[in-house]
Amino acid sequence: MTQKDKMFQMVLDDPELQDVYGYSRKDYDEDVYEAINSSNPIVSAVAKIIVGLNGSDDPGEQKRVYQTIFKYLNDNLLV
Amino acid sequence: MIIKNITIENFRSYYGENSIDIGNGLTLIIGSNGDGKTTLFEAIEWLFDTVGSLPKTDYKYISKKRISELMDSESDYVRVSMTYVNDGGERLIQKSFKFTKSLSGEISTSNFEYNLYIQKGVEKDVKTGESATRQFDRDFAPSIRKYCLFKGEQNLNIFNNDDAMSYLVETFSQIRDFDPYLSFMESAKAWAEKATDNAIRADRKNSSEAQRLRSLITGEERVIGDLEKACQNKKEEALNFQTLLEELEKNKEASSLLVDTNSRLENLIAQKLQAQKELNENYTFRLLDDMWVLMGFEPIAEEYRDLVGRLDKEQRKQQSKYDQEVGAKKVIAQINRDLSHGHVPLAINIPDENTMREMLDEEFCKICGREAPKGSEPYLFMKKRLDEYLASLESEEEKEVEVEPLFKNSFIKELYDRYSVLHNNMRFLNRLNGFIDDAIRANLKKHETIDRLSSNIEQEEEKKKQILAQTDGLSEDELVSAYNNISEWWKARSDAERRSDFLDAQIQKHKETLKGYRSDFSKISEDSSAAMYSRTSQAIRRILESFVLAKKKNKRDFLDQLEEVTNEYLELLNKGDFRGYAQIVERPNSSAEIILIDTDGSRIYNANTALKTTMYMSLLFAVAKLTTVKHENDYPLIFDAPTSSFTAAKESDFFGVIAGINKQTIIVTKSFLVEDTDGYSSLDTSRLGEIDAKKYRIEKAQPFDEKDLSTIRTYVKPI
Repeated sequence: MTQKDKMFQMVLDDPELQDVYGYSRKDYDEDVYEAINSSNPIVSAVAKIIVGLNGSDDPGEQKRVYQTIFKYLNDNLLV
Repeated sequence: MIIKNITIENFRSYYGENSIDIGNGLTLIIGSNGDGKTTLFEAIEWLFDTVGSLPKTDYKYISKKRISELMDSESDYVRVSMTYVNDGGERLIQKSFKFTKSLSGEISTSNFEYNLYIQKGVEKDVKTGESATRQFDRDFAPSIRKYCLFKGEQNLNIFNNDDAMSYLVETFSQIRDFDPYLSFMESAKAWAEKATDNAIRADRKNSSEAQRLRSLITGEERVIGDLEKACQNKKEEALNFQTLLEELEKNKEASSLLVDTNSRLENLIAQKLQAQKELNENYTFRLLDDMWVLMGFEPIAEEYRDLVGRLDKEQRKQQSKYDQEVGAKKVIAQINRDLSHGHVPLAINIPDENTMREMLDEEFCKICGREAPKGSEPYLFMKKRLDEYLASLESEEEKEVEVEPLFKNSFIKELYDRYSVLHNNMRFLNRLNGFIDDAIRANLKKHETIDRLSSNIEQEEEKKKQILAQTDGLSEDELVSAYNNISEWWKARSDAERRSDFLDAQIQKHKETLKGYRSDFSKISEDSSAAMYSRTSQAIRRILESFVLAKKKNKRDFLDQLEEVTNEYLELLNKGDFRGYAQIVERPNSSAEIILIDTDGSRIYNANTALKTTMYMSLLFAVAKLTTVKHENDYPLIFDAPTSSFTAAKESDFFGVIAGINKQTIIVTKSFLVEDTDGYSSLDTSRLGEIDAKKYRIEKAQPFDEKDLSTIRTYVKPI
């Protein structure tokens, strides 16, 4: 398991996040790259953040990732 | 990274070239005091210094013996180099400078060089200066070097320092990997909230309320942040004083008076807690739950009873009068009908129905004995009599239905029924005053007990402080001062604990308030055109919280792993001498510390030096092992004399275990030397023979004059 996979799983292990956004372990029991295409928007968003940012602290890069995530969640979060 | 060779040339007492081949496992470099062990270590430190914390060139680095041999204008070099294998290839790092003797005998230094040679097939790639520094830092990172090189046992105590442990944890647990993501999520949260606020502002209906709530939310977040910092500081303070007091107490463990005082205190505190639990002063709840609100209700109940009784009686009176009136009218009507023919009528049922029907069928009156053909007057009289009789049977029922009731509703009956229920509960009401009185008295008594227990507890705590202050050999003034210190620590700890409890409660309150504001904001935004942005903003905020939690968990997982591996090494290095274990605890200020726990679960404050040394070395081995796993690369450990407090037997065990650990370790030590009567040290070859290691002896060449450095020359020879 890579560091990214480990971080991805640790973030999604949060029981409150699971409860509010209705996903379980089986929705993210895979590597972070595959999870980008998850049907659960939160699982997919976290995967996109980890892969897209790739540990960068460059402000330009961060803004770009934010815009992608913001649009993605606007389009896909269900009421 | 595996070290293959260290070569020291003209560095202080190391005259000429001295080459040490290093084994893959344990390498022992043995020398007596003053033979050059520390100098060897210092040479390595100088070589590894890539940040300039040590002088590049210095007269004191130069071998005085070599200087003494130089002719005028002659030069030579100070060199320290290390050959190592990294990334599958051999490399050499070398630091050097030239020294020259002038005509006047002065020594000058020049030509400082720092070079790194990378073997590439038959050729060597050379990096110099900054380039060499950068490459070496990549091969052997400074953060890792910090935990690989230790001069003396005192140096191992770096882990007593908060910053050292924090640095260790942050470097090796990779919690720093989370930092860019956390910083990103904080920014994302702020951007998303701004987008939501801008969108809501355009929605005139909700804009001002949303702005108000956003301002409240920001305010609460700030307050919570400040409170959490303050609370953390107080907890840290309380823990510090607690540790001081515990340490003091541990040192007094032998005192039976202290043991008995502690036992009494424990008992008194338990009793106080029990009494406090039994207190029930929730009088507000008891008003309704236990119906205390009915206290004093008796006179009201009695008044109610009287009123309802009177009402009921009046109703019955009126009903009876009415019934009589209605009944009398019926009788009078009947009598009038009967008396309308001038004579007292027969009773309505004489003759009876069967006789009348018979007479009608036979058309003959059997009472007067006359013929009564159909349609005749006697026939019609008999027919009318029968009809009246039949009608009298029906008309009584019809008349009952037709009579208007005097009281159409049954309210008075309901009131009366209610009184019946009340009457049944009057017994309870009568005793209620007694219940309440008893409950209040019991609480007052409990308070008295609690006060008495508190007073006893205070007295015992005072005695305990006096016991703790008692130390042999202290003057009276010193005893008073010790007692005052202890009292201050005690108070400071209690104050800090109380304050942190208060702050915790405040934090919870503010978090509830914040939750409320966020919920209100969310409702407004759901109602507005910015609902989509609001949902996204919330999701981003929640994901941020999950990242924070993940970072904390990652750190804890690392500490648990470090603790587990440390204990594996600790057990090996102590081989049954110590049955407790090491524990890595996180402090409120987020730093970590390593402590020893005894078999009974209590902390060990006064561990002997040997045990402490093995604890720190175990921690270092654990760090090195975890680093190997994480960085897919191994790093050597280099210690200077960590076993000076060990017995001979323990030393042998210690080195035996390290030799068995699959890790490159270089230990510079004076172990395995035996001093004879002439003061000459020789090797204890039998003990040394038991250790599986590459071994070297360093010693000063004889003869030499201690006062004349130019006669001193350290040489290294393999054993």
